Amino acid sequence: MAESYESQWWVSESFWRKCAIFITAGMALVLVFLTFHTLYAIGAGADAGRVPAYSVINYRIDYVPDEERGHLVPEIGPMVPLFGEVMSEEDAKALVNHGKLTVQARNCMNCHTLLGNGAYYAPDLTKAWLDPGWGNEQARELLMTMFLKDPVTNARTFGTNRKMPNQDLTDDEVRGVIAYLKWMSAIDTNGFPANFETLPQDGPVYEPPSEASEEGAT
Amino acid sequence: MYDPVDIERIAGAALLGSAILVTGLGYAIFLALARLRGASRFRRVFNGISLGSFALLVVSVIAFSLVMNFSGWWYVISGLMVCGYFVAPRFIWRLTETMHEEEVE
Amino acid sequence: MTLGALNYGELSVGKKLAIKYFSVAMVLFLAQMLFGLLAAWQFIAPDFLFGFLDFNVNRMVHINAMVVWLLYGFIGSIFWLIEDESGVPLVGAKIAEATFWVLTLAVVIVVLVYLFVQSGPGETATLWLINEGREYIEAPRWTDIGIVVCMVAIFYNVLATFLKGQWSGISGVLVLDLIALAGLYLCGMFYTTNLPVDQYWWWWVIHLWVEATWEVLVGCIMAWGLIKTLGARRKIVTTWLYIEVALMFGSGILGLGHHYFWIGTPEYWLGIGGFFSALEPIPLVAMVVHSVYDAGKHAFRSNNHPALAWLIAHAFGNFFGAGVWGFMQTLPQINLYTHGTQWASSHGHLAFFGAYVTIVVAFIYLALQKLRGDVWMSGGLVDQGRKWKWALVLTHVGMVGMTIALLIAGYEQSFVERAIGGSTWQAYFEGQMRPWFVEAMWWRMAFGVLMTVGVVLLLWDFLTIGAKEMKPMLEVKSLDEEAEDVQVGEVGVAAQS
Repeated sequence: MAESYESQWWVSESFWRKCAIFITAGMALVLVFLTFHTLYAIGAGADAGRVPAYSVINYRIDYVPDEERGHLVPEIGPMVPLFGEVMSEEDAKALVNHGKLTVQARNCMNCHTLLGNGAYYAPDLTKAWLDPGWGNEQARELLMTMFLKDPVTNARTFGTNRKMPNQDLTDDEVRGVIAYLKWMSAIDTNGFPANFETLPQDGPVYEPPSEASEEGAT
Repeated sequence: MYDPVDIERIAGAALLGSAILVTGLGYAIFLALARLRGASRFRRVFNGISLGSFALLVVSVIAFSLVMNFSGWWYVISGLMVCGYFVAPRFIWRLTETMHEEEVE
Repeated sequence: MTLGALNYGELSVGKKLAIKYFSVAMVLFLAQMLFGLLAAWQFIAPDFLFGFLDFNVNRMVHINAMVVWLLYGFIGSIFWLIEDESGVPLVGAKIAEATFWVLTLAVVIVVLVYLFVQSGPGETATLWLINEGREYIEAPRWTDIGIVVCMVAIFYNVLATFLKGQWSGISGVLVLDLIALAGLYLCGMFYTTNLPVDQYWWWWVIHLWVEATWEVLVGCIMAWGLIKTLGARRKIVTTWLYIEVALMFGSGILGLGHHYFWIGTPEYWLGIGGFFSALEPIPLVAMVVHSVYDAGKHAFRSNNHPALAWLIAHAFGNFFGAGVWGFMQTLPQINLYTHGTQWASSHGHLAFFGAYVTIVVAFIYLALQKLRGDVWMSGGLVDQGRKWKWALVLTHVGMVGMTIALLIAGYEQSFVERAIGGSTWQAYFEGQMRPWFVEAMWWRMAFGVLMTVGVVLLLWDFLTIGAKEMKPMLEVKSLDEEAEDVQVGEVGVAAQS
């Protein structure tokens, strides 16, 4: 009966070996192709507009409904530079980078989630920069700085007593973390988290000195 | 590209999603049991349960598609589940049985 | 070999090495439980060990211990089966031995650094020396490199042994899968400022490990386990393994898309992720159908009851943990609310347990039988199999209990924080304070303790099972051997006539 088994090509060992190889290779090929496209689309400041350039920290970030896509999408507003300091793309990247390094070095992801990934012991940080808990645009930077410098005294546990331990962040690290959070909040996440209401942002916008604006125009 | 579930239907959507898989499993297991040699006494019962499970699967998929506000491409996934989950266990059974044919004789 | 005694000295080199890997794995399993309990308790009493052993440290050790002990279990299983499979003694035994000690030393150092140094300044040096700060692959870069070197060494052992001895379909799949497994780890070994790019590659490691290459690795181990315990026919098992590879990689590789909904990646991933997620249960159903067939045909004349019980637990655990718990929250329409909540943790617990813990435990039972001199491990053990049965029941009840508690917590969090509250910080804490959530955390704790008791019992059983048995192992003639007998018989008949 051995022949009948082998003559049924669709149950034969060699047929399925080929299937395994070709399906795996095919899927891997599609994934590689999509990876090239995706990486191109999610470069910081790429034309696809999904991941902002690091200098987005010079601007007000807000969310507006997009009828076609059916959810809120990031909107880059007028200039409201972080800590009142306009930064070049390079400097902004260096600051955001310092923030990301700090977030990794302090193991934030094993309590918090970033873009929804991480641990569930503390709030999601995707839009922490825009959280209404900071009150308003003017108070935000100061409150964030104070919180990050001393999260135990300035705990925001909303009655749960689940405090953030003091991370002994240096001033530079605090600035970096805030810059990183601001940049992160401008990533187009297809509407995640849903129905997030941003804090009121109606503070003064940056007015460039006249010389600078002339230079910028040329 | 997607239209999220209504918030009061989150639990329903999750339950229906699991119902699809559980009924799919029931369909597959009883299909296999009914076809086992020596199960002839229960064959009709097992076949009945199997088909009943599949009917529930179809209902679950339809309800799931409605609750999840499917449109466009997402209906392809509904179709995939109904057809795929119907065919796959049968195909796997045929495959297993044919493969084992030599021991049966 | 003496029945019931520890015949460690008489084992082959590869099998000795496997026992070492399994021993370390079990120590880490216990560590995983302990740190899981600490982290679970902190949900209830946030001041517990605050500022000393914070949640992030406990949680990191909890998940890292798991990843490492499962890998140790897999490596141990490979070393256990490689000599039988290739027909020759392990090639490069000294290197393999050294690799084990280097790897284990590295693990010890990393755990000590996690516990006593914990974190560092926001500089690249911290990522290299202390902690990479990326969930599941927190191990600092120096360890990453060490792990890769060790993996290359292990790969050398495996490849060289098969090259010297004989190849089989199972070993072919195993070798290719090991290449993929090690290769994927490289994707997690770099730093970038761009968070979406970071998470894009991070998922290559996490998803393509646990939903693709680990599943196939387990398929290889299980294939061999089935030949051993049930006497399943090699040709069929091999063909079946190819089918599983085709189904698993066919659905799992692009199933990766369901992690790319919300991290800044383009919208087409919503459709791709959804489509392949719906396909991912098919290989799991296929396994169940096939095991029903096998169970019906072979009527379970197994020579190792505990191993078989855990293999059955694997088939169902994989289906429910990875399949049902995954699919119910995977499509973007609902994942928008469930992503990043306790829902994911519910799924994670049941899936890792059902898909991987079960199989490693089953394999260790197979190994122990041999270690005890091919002792009896079917029905009617000296202690009536009380220990292994209770360990099985307690670990499963504990795990299912935790999973359901976390599911309830996850629903509460999705609903209160995500859906109604719009995911603000205040909404987060409101969700965490809801009675259902708080109670769920207590239940999780209780079931966690139950499971820990089960694990302790399991380890006790590992140390004692077979010790007082007087009977040799039940002979399960493999169907291949039976077929040979028939042929010999036929030849005999032909010769007579």
